[in-house]
Amino acid sequence: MQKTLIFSCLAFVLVLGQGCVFNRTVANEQVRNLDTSFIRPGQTTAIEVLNRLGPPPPLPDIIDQQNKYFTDDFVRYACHETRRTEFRLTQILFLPFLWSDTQAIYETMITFDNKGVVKEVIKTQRKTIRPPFKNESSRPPLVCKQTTAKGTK
Amino acid sequence: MHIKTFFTVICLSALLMNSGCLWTRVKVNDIEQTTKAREVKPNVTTSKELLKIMGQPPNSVIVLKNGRHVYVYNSSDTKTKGLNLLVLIISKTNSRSDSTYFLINNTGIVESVTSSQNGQLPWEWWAFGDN
Repeated sequence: MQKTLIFSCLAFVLVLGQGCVFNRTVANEQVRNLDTSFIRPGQTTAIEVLNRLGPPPPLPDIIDQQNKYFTDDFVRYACHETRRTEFRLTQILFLPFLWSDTQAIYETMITFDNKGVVKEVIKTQRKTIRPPFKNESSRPPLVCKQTTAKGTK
Repeated sequence: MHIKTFFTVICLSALLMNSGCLWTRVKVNDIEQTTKAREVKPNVTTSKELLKIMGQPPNSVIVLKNGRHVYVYNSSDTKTKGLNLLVLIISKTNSRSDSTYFLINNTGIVESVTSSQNGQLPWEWWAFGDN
């Protein structure tokens, strides 16, 4: 009787095989702490920004397209994070139960005027949540810092 | 008796096959593009010569004002490490993309070259917390 129970438990575990999956993906963490203190709005040029900070990194998947990172008007550096929770019951149900949240957790956007000179520097910080254990109300407020020729706010 | 032993071996084998550590790595494009980009001389190299030096067309082209454009070469490296515990998998993926930008003026000459610095990408498995 006891052996039957053990075998049943083992079989159950095998059937449920790979039940819960928790994954976190961080893309382009190197732009997390970009030093933009050398930028003087109204003076620094786009070329100087690119030479100092390097070109903005694209993302390896389809989250964003390259042309959203650099134009005549702006350059955008973004570090993305995804938190994914999945319940796989692949032997019973082929439909996965999957929740995920992707955010640009650290973002630096530098805008340029018509002459290619820096107009403003905007730094934004967001947090991801882990659904279904957390919902939108658990998300901390967005932090945004804007620097222009007139100062920082 | 033989059937039970056989069943036990099958179950244990399946359990062992279902658990363990996982490592995956994905590289996209030539990470050595930065080295090749050093051969490009700003204000001298033409866009045609640039293609020969890089050995491939750009991954994308950004069109700017006044007939200028940017040739973009990208590469990326992705590392995933995880712990696979039968009914629980915890994993973390770190990904890093690098680019090289060639700004080409309206006469087809490379005006400037900028590359991102290639850095180390850590192997990590813990999927929780903020670090």
